[in-house]
Amino acid sequence: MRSFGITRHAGSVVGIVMLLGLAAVPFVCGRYTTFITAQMLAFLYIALALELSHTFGRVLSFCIGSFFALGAYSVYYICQKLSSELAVMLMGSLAVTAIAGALTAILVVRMKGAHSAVVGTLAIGAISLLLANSLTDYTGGEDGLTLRHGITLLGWTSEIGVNMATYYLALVPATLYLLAYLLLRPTPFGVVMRAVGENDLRSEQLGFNVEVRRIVIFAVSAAISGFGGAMYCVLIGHISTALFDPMVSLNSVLWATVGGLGSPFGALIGTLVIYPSIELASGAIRYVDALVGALLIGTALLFPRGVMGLIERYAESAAPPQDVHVLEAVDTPILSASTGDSK
Amino acid sequence: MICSKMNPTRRSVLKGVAGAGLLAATSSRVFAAADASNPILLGIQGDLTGALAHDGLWEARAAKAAAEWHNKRGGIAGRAIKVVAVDTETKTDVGIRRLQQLIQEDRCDFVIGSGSGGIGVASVPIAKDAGVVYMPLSRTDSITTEAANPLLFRFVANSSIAAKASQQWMVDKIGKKWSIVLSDIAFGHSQREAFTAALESVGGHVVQAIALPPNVSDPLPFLLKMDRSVDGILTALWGPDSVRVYPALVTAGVGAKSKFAVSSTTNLFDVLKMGKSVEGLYAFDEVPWELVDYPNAELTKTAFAEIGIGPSGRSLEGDDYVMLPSAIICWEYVSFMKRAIEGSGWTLRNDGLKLSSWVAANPVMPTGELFLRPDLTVRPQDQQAFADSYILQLQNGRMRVVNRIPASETMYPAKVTITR
Repeated sequence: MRSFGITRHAGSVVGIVMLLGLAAVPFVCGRYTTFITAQMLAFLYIALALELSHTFGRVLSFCIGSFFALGAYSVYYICQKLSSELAVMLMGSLAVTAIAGALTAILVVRMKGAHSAVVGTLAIGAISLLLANSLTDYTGGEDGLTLRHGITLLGWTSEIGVNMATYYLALVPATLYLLAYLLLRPTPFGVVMRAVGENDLRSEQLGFNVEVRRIVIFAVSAAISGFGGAMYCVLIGHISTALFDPMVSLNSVLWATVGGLGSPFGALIGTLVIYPSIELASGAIRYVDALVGALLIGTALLFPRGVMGLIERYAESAAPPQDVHVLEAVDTPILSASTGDSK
Repeated sequence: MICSKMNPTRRSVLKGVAGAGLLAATSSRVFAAADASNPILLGIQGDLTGALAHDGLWEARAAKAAAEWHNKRGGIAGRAIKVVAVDTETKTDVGIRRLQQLIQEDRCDFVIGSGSGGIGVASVPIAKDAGVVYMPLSRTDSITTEAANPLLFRFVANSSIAAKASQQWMVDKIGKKWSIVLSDIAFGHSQREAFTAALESVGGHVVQAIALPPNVSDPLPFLLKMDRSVDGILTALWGPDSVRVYPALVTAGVGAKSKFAVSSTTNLFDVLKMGKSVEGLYAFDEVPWELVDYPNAELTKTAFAEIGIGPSGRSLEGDDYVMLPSAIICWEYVSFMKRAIEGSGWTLRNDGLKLSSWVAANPVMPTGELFLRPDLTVRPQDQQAFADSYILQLQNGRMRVVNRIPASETMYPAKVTITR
């Protein structure tokens, strides 16, 4: 018997409440808070992309930040050379990063073992930074490029920077993605994707083309990250090769891990917890990067399932016994790697 | 009883007069003190950590010292100066965020900008849109060319000034054939372009330019490509790279010839502690290093003492090197605020254009305790300041002035004319 009690979806409920809070920010907060929140929303896409590639593609991608940077540069050049229509800029950026993601994925998914794939993505991230720094005529190097260009949004005049239109343009796609993820997860499509993520061998035996699916997942995650980069460029109006720094990817690992890998709401919660904390801490602590490292180590040691794990544990303890039983069943992997049992 | 107490005696009258005098004196001090309830907010977009941390440290220290010094003397137009310092971490994205914080959260009306070219270039339009007066420490040319606007005043020498000031001296004293070693960042490229054009205008030429990635761990493989027939090597380096590049030049066997370092990058590392690899090195700088070399040494003492700089140009606390141009220019930026605000009648952020117009009509800063550099002049067309500049040379562990270049000789033709 299945329970649809609120405790089963406690993490998602917390995530939805947070999304509602984000939607209210421009109305209840000052300009600076709105600016910081908008910037955080752009970075949220890297965490969402990382979670996607990790959960369904079994790759903890340390080059996910490179797609973010590529998305930002794509928007810059589309705006300068092709079109100043925001929809075209964003769609173009999605296409560029999806293609780049697919090409990268062809290499990454063929690397045997999760560890070699991680090392592979780290190498790709480092190479992309070196390449970006050597192509200063196009990337502007560490000094970067400033986007000061009149833009339109579906024909209406808009502008580069944080404003009502660009803020919601950053928030709404993330919200739709999270809701779609939630709705698709229990469907046959979602179950197959989870199966591919959890046990490639068994999935192949069941007749699913694992490699193609993983390439598609990696390409989609690259496009999601690229969309974040595109929005970053639109919101901030300045991009530089610093966006290619592997630290950007490492930060997304921190956000997703603290929130809880395995759930897109984990990425959301992690970003919403960590990003403002770091921002506040930077006023008091000089070397904030050390704090980032300490948080990552602390989370790995104390809360391996992140904030989502804590919420679920709390929900489990609060739920009636039958709910606990159902929760355990739901959390059991679709295809257990150790036993090979299918569900 | 009461009446008897009110009968004035000579002693009580004297007491009364003394008391009134004391009250008047106290009152005048109260009126002279700056109004702290309605301060003028000055933001420091400081590079307090990261590659330019030493620059940022002295930038913040000097601006705070200047603000305190002015506050003790009544502030600006009777208002106290309140300094808010933030850390850019010498990263462009963080620098932009911190500028937004200074403008939107801390409500600063004036901002002394970062020394990083990238942060400077990205910050100028943000400050302009917000109506904030921005005074950068970045030397990248484009800040006072393409990005010039009425709310931007720059007192640091850009690449064009450094090149114009040095060109004739470089060809006359060192030779015509030059090589440039630059960091692959906007500042490096800005220097390469400016010096290549400047040297060619006086009969010299640049035979090669070697670009090093910023924070390069081993510059030797790049420097081995150096043309050994050059007369001089011009360096335009990201500060921390200098400590690796000069010894590497010696290792590569090209460091024995005279070298020339430009635009104050010699202040970004402790050049005096580098020993023989830098002995004889020439440097272009906006300010002399030692107090005795200042044309108005007596009046310069105040700024040195308030900021914490000793007569040798090194820190009073410990034996640390000082980012002298940034420190002196931050002192002058605060002095500029005082002069321009009081002169123009600036009261609010909306008065930026009024302030700009007043400065255009009164472009020469009077030399003294407030403005240490002689003939400091803000050119109305692009609001780039010009002052006497110096060629220094490292001689027996001391950086001494070997040539003074008058402000008029550093002035290149304005590339834009801003509209107010």
